[in-house]
Amino acid sequence: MLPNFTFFGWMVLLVEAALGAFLLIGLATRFWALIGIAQTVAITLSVLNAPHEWYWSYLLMLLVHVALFATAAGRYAGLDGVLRPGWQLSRSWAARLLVRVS
Amino acid sequence: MSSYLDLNYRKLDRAAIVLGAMSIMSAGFIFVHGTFQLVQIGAIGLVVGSVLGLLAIAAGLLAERALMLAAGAGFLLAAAAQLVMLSAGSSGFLGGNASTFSLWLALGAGLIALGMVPRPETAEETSAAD
Repeated sequence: MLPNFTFFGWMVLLVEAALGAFLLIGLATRFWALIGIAQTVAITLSVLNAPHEWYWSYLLMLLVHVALFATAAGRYAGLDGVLRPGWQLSRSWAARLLVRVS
Repeated sequence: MSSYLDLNYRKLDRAAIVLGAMSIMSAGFIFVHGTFQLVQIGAIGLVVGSVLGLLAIAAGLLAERALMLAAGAGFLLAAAAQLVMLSAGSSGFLGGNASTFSLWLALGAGLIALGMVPRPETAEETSAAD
């Protein structure tokens, strides 16, 4: 990873920006909650042994993403809720995929 | 295409209005500084957010898909421009930061998703859908 630090840095920026963006509007919420869980685990493992680190903040972040995934929050307070009925009626592969990740 | 006739299209329009209002309200962060400045907005960013927000609201009120797509494309363009400026090492003329990029990405993706939902062409189909 270190030899390609710039590439991974850009990927982290884009993933974290998209994570916040899609969870903000509740679009494909379950998919982005899973990405959030993966991202949280990666951050937690990288800073867990750092001195004076307050690890509860990472557990809290993990719990929030788990809650968003478990409750499929976008269906109740997000765009998933208004778009999902259309996706469920469509026969396209993209719509079927969005039904699964919302 | 008849499968889409069961949709309540007004919900999609209301969602576009909410996204537009969200943009205009977030532009108010230009007046906030310090800890609670969740998004950094510059003078031109204020204009961009307000104009595109108003366009999204108009799209929702008029139930016009093309306007939703135009507003969404505008937000994605602004987000991309902000990202390019950040990569150059400054906020650029839009005056935003990575949170601004994320916010405009959200509004762009949301409006594009709403605008891409096919709708009935005729008045009879529209009334059947409602």
